[in-house]
Order: sequence, then C-alpha cells, then structure tokens
Amino acid sequence: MAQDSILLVDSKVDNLDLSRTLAAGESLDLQLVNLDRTAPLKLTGQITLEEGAHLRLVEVDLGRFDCRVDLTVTCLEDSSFDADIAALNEGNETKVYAFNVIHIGKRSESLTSMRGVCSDTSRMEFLGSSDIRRGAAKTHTRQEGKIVNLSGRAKCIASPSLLISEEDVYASHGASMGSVPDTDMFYLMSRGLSRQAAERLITVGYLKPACELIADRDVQARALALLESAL
Amino acid sequence: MSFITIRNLHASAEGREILKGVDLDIEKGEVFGLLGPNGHGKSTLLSCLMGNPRYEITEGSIKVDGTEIVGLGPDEISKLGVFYCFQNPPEVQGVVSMDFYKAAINAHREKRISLPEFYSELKGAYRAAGLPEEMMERHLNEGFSGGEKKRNEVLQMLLLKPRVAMLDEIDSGLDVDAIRSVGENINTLGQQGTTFIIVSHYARLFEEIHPTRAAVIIQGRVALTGGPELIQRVDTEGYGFLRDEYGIDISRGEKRETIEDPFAAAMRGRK
Repeated sequence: MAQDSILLVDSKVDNLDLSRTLAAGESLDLQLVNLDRTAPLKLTGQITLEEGAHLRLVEVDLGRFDCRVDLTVTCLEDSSFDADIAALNEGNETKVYAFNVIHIGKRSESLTSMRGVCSDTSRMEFLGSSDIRRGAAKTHTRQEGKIVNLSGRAKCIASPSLLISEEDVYASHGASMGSVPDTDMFYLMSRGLSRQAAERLITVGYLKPACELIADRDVQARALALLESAL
Repeated sequence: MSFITIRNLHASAEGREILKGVDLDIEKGEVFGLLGPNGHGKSTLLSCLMGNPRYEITEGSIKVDGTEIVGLGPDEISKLGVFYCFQNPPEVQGVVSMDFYKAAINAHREKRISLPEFYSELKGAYRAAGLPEEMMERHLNEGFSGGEKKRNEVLQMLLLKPRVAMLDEIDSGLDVDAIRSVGENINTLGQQGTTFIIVSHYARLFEEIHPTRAAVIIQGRVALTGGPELIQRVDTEGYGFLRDEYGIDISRGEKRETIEDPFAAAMRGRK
C-alpha cells in the first residue's frame, strides 16, 4: 500500500483547493497547520477515495485569521476518512468548518472530530454531514463537534448531521457546546489557578490531542508552545 | 487571636440566606469536626471559606492567620494555604490530571517545579492516596468512581500541603480500608502542622484522626461546640438531645444561643 504525506504549515495561499482522487489502495496523511497565519483562508475540495484508499486529515488552526473550510469526501468500498480538527478563535475571528462525507461503498468508514475554543466575540461553526447512500452497507461513520466558549459572547454552532439511506450501518454523531461550568472554574481556581490560567488549561486540554498528531516534531512543538501561551 | 476566626458570618445563595451569623474560632493545628443535619449550612460554610462566588457573603468576617479572606477569590485564598476537598468533585472535560496538578503546584511557588521533582512528588502522592499512577494521564475526575474522586481530592491535598485543609464528607463512598488510608494521610499532614476542618456524618473517620473539638451547625448558625465527646454523642444519639437538653429545634432553630464547652474556652485562654 502506497503511503504519502503532505504537511502544509502557514501556507501563503489564501484559496487552497484540496480536490484529488486517491487511487485504489492509496493512503495519504494530510496535515494543515496554521500557527502564524493572519490572512483569511478559504479551503475547498472534492476528494474521492477509491476502493481501499485511506485519507487522514489533521488540521490545526491556532493563528489569528478567518477561515472557511468546505470539504466533500466521497468514500467508495473499504475506504476510510479520518479527520481531526483543532481550532482556536480570539478577537472577532470567524472560522467555519463544513465537512461532508458521502458513503457510497460498502464497509467504508469515516470519523470526523472537531474541537474548538472560542473567546472574545469570535464565531466558530462546525457543520458536517455523513451521508450514507443506498448500497453502502456495513458503513461506519461518526461526526463529533465540541466547542468551549470562554467568554460567553462568542457565537458557536456545532451541527453534525446524518443522512442514512441504507440498513445495516453504524452511524452516530455528537455535539457539545457551552461555557465552562461555574463549578469547574471554581474547582480549578480553588487550587490556586487564576481564571486566566484555568481557561488556558482548558484550552490546552481541548486542542492538545490534535496538535499531538502533527507528525513533524518541530512543528508539533511550536503548536504546543503556542497553545500553552494562548489567552 | 485564633488561627481561623469567623465572626457573624451571613451568606446567601440565589437570594436565600443560608448562614445566619456564624461565630467560630479554630486554633492552629486543630482537627476540628463540623457536624449537623443535612441542609443546615456546613458545606456552605466551607464553600465561603474557599471563596466560592456562588455564595454572597452579606455580612461578617473570616480571618486566616490574621488575614481577612472575605472578598478574595478562590485562587487567592488557595495561595494563602487553604485547601478544600470537594464533597462532589466535578469532572472537568479536556483537562489532563497531571497538567492540572503541575499548574496547581506552580501557582503556589515562586519558582516553577522541575520535572524530576514534580514526577517524584506526584508518584509519592499517588502511592499515599492509593491510586494507580496511570490515572495521572486521564482527564480530571472524568470517569472516576466515587471513591476514586475522593482519593483524588486527598492526592491533591498531599501535593499542595496546605496550612488549612477542609474536608467535606471525604469519607462518603469510601470503604473501611480507604477511610483508614485517608485517616493516615490526615494524621501525617497534621503532624506537619496542617489545621483541619472536617465535615462527616460518621464516627469512623473521626476515630482515625483524633479530633480536638467540634461544632454543630443548625439553621446556619453554630448551635453547640464541644470536645471530641460531642462527636461521639451525635454518632450515638443523633441530634435529638439538642432539642431535649438545649431547647434547640433542629427543624426550625428557635433557640439561637450558642452553648460553649468550658474546655474550648480554656483552650483559647479565656477566664
């Protein structure tokens, strides 16, 4: 099985088209990391995974920029798509992530996991759908989105959805969104952490798992350091 | 002046007054038992001592070693050396336990703890608390059993080595061996100078830790103080004797006079 990887760090391109077809049996590890970016980013793509192809996507957006992601992934038989997205929003930034996964082949799998932290008056949307078409029996799919709203003034939407036209499939979705419960904040602060330090700990906790998936050690270290110093 | 001085403390939550004038003195190094039926203000008192913003202190004073803590945030009170073992520790999503413990330790130090020292302290605390080390990589309290959450509170207490430790029903949900372990940890910290305020409904924990004095909270006030025999009496008889001997109705709290044990007065050097 051929395996390839692409790492894009703070791409200078403002409109990025990820459209491609992965041939049968091909694997691709695609990592998009934006740490210092400030210019708006539009990321689109129509990706087809042929039989037995595998796409792993990691996107870590910690920079101060607006972002719109519209990605459609079509999964044929025995193919799989895994996506881990981590996004940090401050100021009045807007980040919108729309991942649509279409399962047309049997035994295809997808797991889309999106985690975000918002503060100030920023806006973040996690929109996704898993569409299991007739004929895609034994498909496994899951979409999950979690956003924590640190300021209470940020606008957050997490709306995964499932469209199922086949029997004998496994499909699930989950969304959670909200501010840090007062009891949690009191608990953290009762151990000596300032409110800011407590928020930083929560931010790191939410976004660290995706950062740890960055294959390049130097880039990973930069991302984790940026995360620790955020807010 | 006593190590902890509480004077005429009134506190409310959601517009309802819960503490209605608490007066209490606790000396340095004491193991002080806080008793009372459910819903009469024990946990509220401890929460106010920890600066929980959920409760509004409308009147009164709390001093720890001469420092007024009313108006301070929970982080500031913690840095004065006060620790609160929660009755129901929350599960904090996304926060890895060991990251939190390191941040908490560093919040109490001028110089950040080195990694070797941190891991050494952490492993020792896990051993003493009777928890497996692997739990340090789990999210804070997430998926922990009730007993594990309580042991995790003890672990944090051992890491932070507070001057004052308030334990709110630390023994609920623990088996006999676990209670004994908690007792050992309390005794160890007590020998190092920690002052304890302990809420419990059962004598078993108190048997392990040799309390010095106790107070009974009824209707948001201290109704009675006494020595360790007060704890035994409540454990044996319940709270009915308060009504029968002192005229305190525990359902309505009509009699507000505080009856003080002469031993307690002598401890504070009063004539």
